[in-house]
Amino acid sequence: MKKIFLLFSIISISMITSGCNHYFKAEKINGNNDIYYGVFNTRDKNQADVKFYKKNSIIACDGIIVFSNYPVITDKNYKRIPGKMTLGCNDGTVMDVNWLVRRTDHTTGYGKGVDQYNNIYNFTSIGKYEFVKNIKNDYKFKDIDKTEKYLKY
Amino acid sequence: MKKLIIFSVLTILTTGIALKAFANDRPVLGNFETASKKLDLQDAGKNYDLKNYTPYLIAVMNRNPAPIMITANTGIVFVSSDGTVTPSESRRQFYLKNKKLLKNSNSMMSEYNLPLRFEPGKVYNIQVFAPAELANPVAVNITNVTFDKKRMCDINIPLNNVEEL
Repeated sequence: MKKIFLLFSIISISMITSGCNHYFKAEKINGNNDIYYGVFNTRDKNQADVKFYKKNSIIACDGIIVFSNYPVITDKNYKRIPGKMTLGCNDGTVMDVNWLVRRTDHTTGYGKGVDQYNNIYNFTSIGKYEFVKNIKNDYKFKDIDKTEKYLKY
Repeated sequence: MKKLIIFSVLTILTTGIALKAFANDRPVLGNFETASKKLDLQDAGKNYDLKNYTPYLIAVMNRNPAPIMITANTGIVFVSSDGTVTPSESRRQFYLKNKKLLKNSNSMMSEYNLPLRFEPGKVYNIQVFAPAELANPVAVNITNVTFDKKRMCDINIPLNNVEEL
């Protein structure tokens, strides 16, 4: 009985502290089909680290997303929370993204992003299979705290 | 002996790469109107950790004919009267330290943000947190800012210019 309790406590703690990965996709509104794939892990409730990759290129970005806990019930989208994401890439671009995410689990959502060159990006959330299929071997999310960040501020 | 030489060369190179964002070889842009104000207890209140940081409110206006863009390498640097330069902490580290003040630090992350472009003729309000160890910073530099990607510049903002914003 004690061993079962130990096992259960260890597994539950590991699941709580690991967090969940949420995957998303972005399309740049261009003549070309520029598609990006990204992921963030909500270990903390309100803040998450983000990684972001462009398909078939060397470009990688990282940043932060912050959610607010105070939706106004009189708004139309009271079940969705606004979130703000800032990203910096290794070619110098900086993005500012406004998200609307479901309040309960932050899984499904959509967003709109702007570049410093005034390009527009459309963000949507996707499942894990689509992410892994498109970005197979570049996905390294584990050592995010140790790597150097692209966004300096 | 060989290992010592290799180790020292590698450390010098890595520190050079890390400090590249804060190096001072870039020209300083002109044609900026700025005003700054130090936030006290009455203004800041309970929202910020005043033991470890001192907040400043800065207003910046671009008088150049073209807009100025921010890159991923922009940093914020505090200059003291000696001439010593200290880079500021990132917002992520600030958030992790003030995590228990969840509502207030959250609002700081979502409201106050460097604008992507400094359009000409507009006033931008920027909030900056200097470490409390610095006694009296004289100026703030926003580094690695461009008209086009070819040449990087700095913006120098003096902090003693106290006016009504």
